[in-house]
Amino acid sequence: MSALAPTVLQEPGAGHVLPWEWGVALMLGFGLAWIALGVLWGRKAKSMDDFTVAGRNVGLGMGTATAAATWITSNTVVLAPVFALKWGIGGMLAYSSACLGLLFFAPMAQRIRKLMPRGYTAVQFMRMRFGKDAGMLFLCISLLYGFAWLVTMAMAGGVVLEALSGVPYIWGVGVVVSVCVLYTLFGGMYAVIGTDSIQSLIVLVGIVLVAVFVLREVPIAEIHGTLAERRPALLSWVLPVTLMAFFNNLLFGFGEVFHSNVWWCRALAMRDGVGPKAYALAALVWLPVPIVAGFLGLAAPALDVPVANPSAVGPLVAAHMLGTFGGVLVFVVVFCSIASSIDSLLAATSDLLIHDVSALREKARKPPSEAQLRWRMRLSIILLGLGAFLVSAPHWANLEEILFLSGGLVGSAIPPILAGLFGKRLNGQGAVLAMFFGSTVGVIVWFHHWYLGALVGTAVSGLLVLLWQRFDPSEFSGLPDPAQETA
Amino acid sequence: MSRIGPGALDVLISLGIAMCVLGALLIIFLIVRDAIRKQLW
Repeated sequence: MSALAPTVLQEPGAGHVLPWEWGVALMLGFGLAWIALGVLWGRKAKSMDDFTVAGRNVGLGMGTATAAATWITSNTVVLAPVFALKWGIGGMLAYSSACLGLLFFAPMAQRIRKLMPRGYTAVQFMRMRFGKDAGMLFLCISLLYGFAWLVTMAMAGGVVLEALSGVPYIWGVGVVVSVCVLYTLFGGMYAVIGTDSIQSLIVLVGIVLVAVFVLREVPIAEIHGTLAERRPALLSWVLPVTLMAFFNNLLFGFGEVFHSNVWWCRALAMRDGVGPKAYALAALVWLPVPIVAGFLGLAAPALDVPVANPSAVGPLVAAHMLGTFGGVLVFVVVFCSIASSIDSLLAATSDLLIHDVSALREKARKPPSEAQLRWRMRLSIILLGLGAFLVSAPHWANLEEILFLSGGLVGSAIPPILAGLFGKRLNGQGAVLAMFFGSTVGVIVWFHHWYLGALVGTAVSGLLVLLWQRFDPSEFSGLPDPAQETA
Repeated sequence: MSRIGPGALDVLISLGIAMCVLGALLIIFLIVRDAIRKQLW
């Protein structure tokens, strides 16, 4: 998941786990491999549908892998150990609750595919279901959130790779973003989904190897004994703070998944009937990742690893126990987890730019040809990558707060989306009102209690949706063919 | 008490590792199956 995104390694100079030459070689090696695969798979993309939604024919294997890989961000592997070191078992389990976002999206995926089998984006659905005003408001929320997630992932790439190998921050950001831009540019959704499949396997195998090697050095009983003696609170699985983290992660996760085009475009890319199974299986695949990664944080006190920077506890434990091999493993896992999220964001956000921003502007004029759309799609991917690089360059200290700010915004979108997908009584005015006031109150609350923004935004929006449906109900008769709107 | 013992911790971590391995195997199995049926994408 992307919440809490860039709270990563913050003292890059304090002891790298790999020589920088290794870092550069690994980045170049994997980068070139992804680009080559993007070019190879890009040959399949003959039409706009191929490029943006992989021909709408993605099977269960690729569908499961891409959903799991996209939800495994750098935070899942880097921040979960920090949660475990700070809040123990409860922290790990709270982090794992984010899998419920994917699980609950499973029935939505089926509904999305049924309602708009030829559609492209989440914003397109909101526009066709609730009208232009609701579409515009939802587009603003989606673009703000999507770009903030993209920038935080780019920043995480620079910071983590610098801390692991000493590669300068700006080079790390530049290489990660450039590699993702290039293979998405050449291969579109085929490249995104194909590389996601390989990246998901690398991440899963990588964290298992690290955990098994650590367990071979120190048995669980010894880790438990040390924690019971020195940090007994870490062995508790229910703490007030972990309950708070649980509900915050849960709602933010729901908002992130339910509204984001990253997940909608995958639902539209999967073959009919595949979406629900793929998202449910992806939730199960993702569920243990924070637990296994978090185990490294839990093991740190028992291993006497000097944790000068708690944000780096996972990589530090891996490097301490496994030396250069551990460093390489962690570097590869983090690189893959970041790339699998950035490529998805580039593809999904550029979809919004060409289908929603352009479509609104050009409604009265002649619709663009397929060749024009593909050219614009590629330009959007380049501009998004460039924008993410430029915004990431100053290395903002508080960008994660902006992502948390979006908690209220994305939370306010949950009730109208659900009412629009599964109900018939909510109209456009009600959707606009719910999103507007839900977002406003959520943001105001965020200024006082950041962890309540998503909860309050969702609650206010949900209440308004319920009231509006009761006092000004409408009867929705069905969506028009989305293809008529943009193609 | 909400504090877990060494046995429960062992089960939790072992289960996590086993689920990761099963997840990877599941993805490989599904992709190979789809490829054989020519339903990869």
